[in-house]
Amino acid sequence: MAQSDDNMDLWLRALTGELTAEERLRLDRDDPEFAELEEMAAIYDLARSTDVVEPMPEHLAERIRAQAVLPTAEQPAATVTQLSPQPAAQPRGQSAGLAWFAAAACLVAAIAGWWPETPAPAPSEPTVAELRDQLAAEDPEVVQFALAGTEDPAAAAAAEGSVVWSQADQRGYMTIRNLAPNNPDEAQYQLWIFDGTREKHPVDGGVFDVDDAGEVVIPIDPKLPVGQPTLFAITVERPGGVVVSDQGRIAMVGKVGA
Amino acid sequence: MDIALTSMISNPVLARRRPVRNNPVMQSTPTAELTVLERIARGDSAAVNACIETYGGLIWSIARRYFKRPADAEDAVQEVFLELWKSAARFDRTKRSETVFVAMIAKRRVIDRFRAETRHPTAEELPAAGVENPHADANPELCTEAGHIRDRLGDLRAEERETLDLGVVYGYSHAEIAEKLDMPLGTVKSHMRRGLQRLKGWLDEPGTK
Repeated sequence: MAQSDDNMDLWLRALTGELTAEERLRLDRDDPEFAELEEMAAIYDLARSTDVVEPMPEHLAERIRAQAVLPTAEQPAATVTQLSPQPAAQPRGQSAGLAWFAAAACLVAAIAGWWPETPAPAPSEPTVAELRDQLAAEDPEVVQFALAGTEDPAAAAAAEGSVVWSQADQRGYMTIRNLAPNNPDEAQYQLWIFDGTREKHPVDGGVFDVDDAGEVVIPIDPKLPVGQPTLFAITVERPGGVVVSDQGRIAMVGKVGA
Repeated sequence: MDIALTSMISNPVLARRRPVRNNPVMQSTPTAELTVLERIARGDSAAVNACIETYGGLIWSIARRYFKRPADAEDAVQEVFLELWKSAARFDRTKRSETVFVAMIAKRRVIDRFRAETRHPTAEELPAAGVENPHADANPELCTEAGHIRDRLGDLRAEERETLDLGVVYGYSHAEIAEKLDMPLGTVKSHMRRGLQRLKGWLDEPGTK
């Protein structure tokens, strides 16, 4: 990995998707040094994340099978052949390139005199509340504690709630009642997890919105490993959240073990 | 056509290097011993199912990490598979494992799409429950390189690990990482670079490949 600083800067920003359109054109992804860097990033990602792999939804797998087109071994790369007799399901907002492939697959099917069937409905996914209950039931080490509203106006209607947290899985759920609904264009709620093993800032637990339904269940997905959670706090932040909160408006708090 | 796709097609460097159908390993390997992507590159339609079964969960999980709204993740996954069908002939087993090749393609497509469309996920988009990797037992080679690195994660400096977590795993920009970790932008990049170089050094050690 002997490279100029300019190239390295370009390559590192490519890994986090920060290149301009011009820089993308300039980037040679086949450069052996960049390929090596990109490979290391992919391996690191695999090392950090493959313990938890969600199965791909079957309806999505069906759609991909139906739309699968690829170059044949003997033909030029631009020539495509349909691999599956299944028609393309109606795509939802894909890129123009994706739509083109879907249209090509449908055309081949129509020429063959084969008419699309209605795809089978997708299996229903469990609700967030069901997932919370499932986590609480399956993990004997899960911790549960209460969230209480503060004197912030957002919690004025006797906001209360609870947290289910699995230290082993590094995930959990918040159930929140009576927190003031927010306008996502003006402000959003953000969860912070105070970690006894970290000296600086609390861990960002994600931003979320509250509607007027009265009760919401929010999955918790911290952006960094939480070594020793001590306190969960919900702040009011600008839309999209912040990377470091000034904790000017703390709406709810919950002490682990309380 | 999105800008990433346009860029790939119009990039003369990529266009020049595309015809990897001449991959000598692929040409000399008996069909029964071909990997999934090598079969795809030969136009073997049965390999489509195998590819979805082998890598669907991996690609879906990467997409869900960035696009927590399932419909957005589905669009991203479809794009990744389209890219895989097109890029399968470029896979070279002598350079890297197929899993890593797939992960590189998936991350590249997902990150570019994520950066073009969204910021960080909102809470209602946060991921549903995951399950243990179904491939881990079925295919012990799936994460060979990743397994080596996982064993050495504790040897990374804390700053290297944090910057790589935020930038490589969760897609934070360098500026966001700098603010989050309260360190200069240049320092963020240095930690990421050194961390990746350290991984390369570990994988180059005898007995790891």
